Amino acid sequence: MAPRASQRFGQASQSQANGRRTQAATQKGYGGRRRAREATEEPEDEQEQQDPEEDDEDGEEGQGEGVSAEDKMIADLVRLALFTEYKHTPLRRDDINKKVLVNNTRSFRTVFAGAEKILKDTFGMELVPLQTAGHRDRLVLEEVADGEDTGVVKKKITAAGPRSWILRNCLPEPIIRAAAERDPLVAEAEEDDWALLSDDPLRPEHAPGTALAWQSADDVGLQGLMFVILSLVLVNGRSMPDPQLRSYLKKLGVHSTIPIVTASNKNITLDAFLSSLTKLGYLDRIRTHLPGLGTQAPATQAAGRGRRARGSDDVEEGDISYEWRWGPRAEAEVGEKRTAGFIADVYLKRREEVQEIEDSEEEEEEQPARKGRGRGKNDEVAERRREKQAKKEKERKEMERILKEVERAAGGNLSA
Amino acid sequence: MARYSDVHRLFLQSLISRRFLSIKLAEKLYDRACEIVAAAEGTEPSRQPFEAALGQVGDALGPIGLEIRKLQDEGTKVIMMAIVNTKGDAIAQVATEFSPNEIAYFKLIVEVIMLAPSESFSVSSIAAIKESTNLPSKMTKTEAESTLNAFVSRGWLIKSQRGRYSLSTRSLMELQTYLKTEFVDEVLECSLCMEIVTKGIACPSARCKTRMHKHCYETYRAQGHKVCPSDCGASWNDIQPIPVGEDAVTERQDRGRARRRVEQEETMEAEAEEYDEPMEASQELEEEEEEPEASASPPPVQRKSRQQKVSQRSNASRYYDDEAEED
Repeated sequence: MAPRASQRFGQASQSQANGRRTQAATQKGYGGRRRAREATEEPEDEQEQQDPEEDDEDGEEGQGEGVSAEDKMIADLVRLALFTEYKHTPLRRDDINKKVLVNNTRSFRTVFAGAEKILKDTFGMELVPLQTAGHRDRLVLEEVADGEDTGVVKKKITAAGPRSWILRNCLPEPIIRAAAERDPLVAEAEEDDWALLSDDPLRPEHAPGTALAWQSADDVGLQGLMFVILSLVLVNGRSMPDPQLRSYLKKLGVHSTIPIVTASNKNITLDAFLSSLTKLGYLDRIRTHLPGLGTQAPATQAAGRGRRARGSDDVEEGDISYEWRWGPRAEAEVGEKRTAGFIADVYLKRREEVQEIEDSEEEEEEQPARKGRGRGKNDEVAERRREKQAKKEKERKEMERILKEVERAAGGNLSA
Repeated sequence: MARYSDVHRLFLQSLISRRFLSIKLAEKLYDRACEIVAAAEGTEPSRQPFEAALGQVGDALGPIGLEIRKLQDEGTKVIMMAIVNTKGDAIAQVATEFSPNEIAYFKLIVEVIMLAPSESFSVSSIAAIKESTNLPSKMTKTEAESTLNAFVSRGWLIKSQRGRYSLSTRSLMELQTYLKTEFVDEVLECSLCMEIVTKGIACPSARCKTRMHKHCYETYRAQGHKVCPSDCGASWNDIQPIPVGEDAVTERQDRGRARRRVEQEETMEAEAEEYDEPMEASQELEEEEEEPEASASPPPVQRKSRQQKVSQRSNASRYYDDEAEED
């Protein structure tokens, strides 16, 4: 039944496709059929023309019985969101209009809400709006202007509505954390799997064994470098002039002139890396006037498009220079609070690791001795527990201190 | 049925983050998801069986146009699974990691593999690289080679020891619908498990249509069967079944022109000569025709316009047509 019905829609829309845009009726609440007839759109027509058999598939999928046009659009939006995320590009409003809604742009709200629900219920994911560059500029200016009239700014933003989103895991934090931890059984099974597949230069030597294989999508080393850059920018008051960033990176052994070697053994220059981060939305490159002239109306530059990020030598062009800020994706995906946590982790982890090595050495020494003594064991255990607790408490305080300092260095309240 | 919970969500996420994996690994991931959620919620893990959970996740994906597919690998015999896009629409085009030109190339490779003579379902590396000259926007030899390598390393193609490319299990799963609709005459189905066969055996009697995966054949023989399961009833003890897949062509042929199935070799020899040339001519033609269309936005595995395909196929698969007429 269903396939036939949808085929009919296909034909109807084919014959009417041209020049029907004008009269596309998009009121809500139609029955599925009527709606589909009035509102099917070109990309779909293409699909119908190309793959008439495809319809039978739909039927088999059990999508059949009376699937309304709205449900179809919702399903399409869900898939679009998943696929764009796979490519690491944001989901754009324009793409939603073009590929999902077409003539039904007015049903955006309903379709979007429906897709959000499915993403949340089925996948445990949520769509997070990316802030426009304009909004973030205002944020910076706002801080300068002592945070007055925030209400006005907010109003403006909601009026326009976000233009793009990314997909983010919204399972409870402890689950996400655990899902990023290694499990030996998973690692073992994964390595068995890898043995069956063709060699992939992008594949690391050992399976990570995490529930979520996030490593497969990214070069872990480059990701680490990205976190370092984001951290530097954050603690520099949320923006950093280009030469300063480069000099910091140089101290870490990342030179503008020496290419970075990726996991897949490709060489990329720092410039190429920075512009790829810009393209992905992790960083923004802002054109500024020379420090002496102040930062009136910083114009966002669409870096990566057209112009390439330059080498350190020619960054300054007359009285123009560049500074780096967080891109919209960094805000939505990484978050300032988590970055502060990352900074604190790096500081504390190293200390902890040193401590652990010392502890384990001690334990090894004590092991044989302990076996001999039966009595003193309880005392010892209690003492150890106390020590551990004291250590934890100290760590917690240390962590808080670092977080506070990061916040101060960033220049105010960290966003989630 | 258990309530759809964070266990299912995490399990699904871990499947999506891998896209293509063995059932065995999937089962481990399910165990892990149960463990993680139980620990996070501080509850005793109430576990439903793996298959039931997988089914439940699959049911949730269905309405979105996604499907969990399983398929036994023809080489390793391991059962693999993937989350597959069941619709070949514009949205699916977004899902690929390759550039439009690379996708167009992949499509050409899939075509030569499917149309390969002698049911070899494979193409020599030389022929595969040569195929890149049919692309609307040219690739150098080196580019073609590295693109092919990427297809292999990303799991879309398999390169055998002797250097022939064939479709991977991942491709067979993800392109199943496409292959079955686009290559209706070429796709062979296993007489036992009904899945597509690209590496296996064929019944030696000329008109019999029985085809089997290697692993299905082994199981079948192990069960003590000696004759073809179809009406033909040929004894497989007297004559060995003919290979399907790259074993159907000799290594010598990798370098030279394509040849026919062994027992038909003589009658087909003349035609084999004919085969190479007209095909190239028609491909050159196509190249010109395809240019505008492909430069616009070639979908991942976009079908060629009908007449182009027919023109090519009339040359490439005359052999199969002949066979069909005989039947």
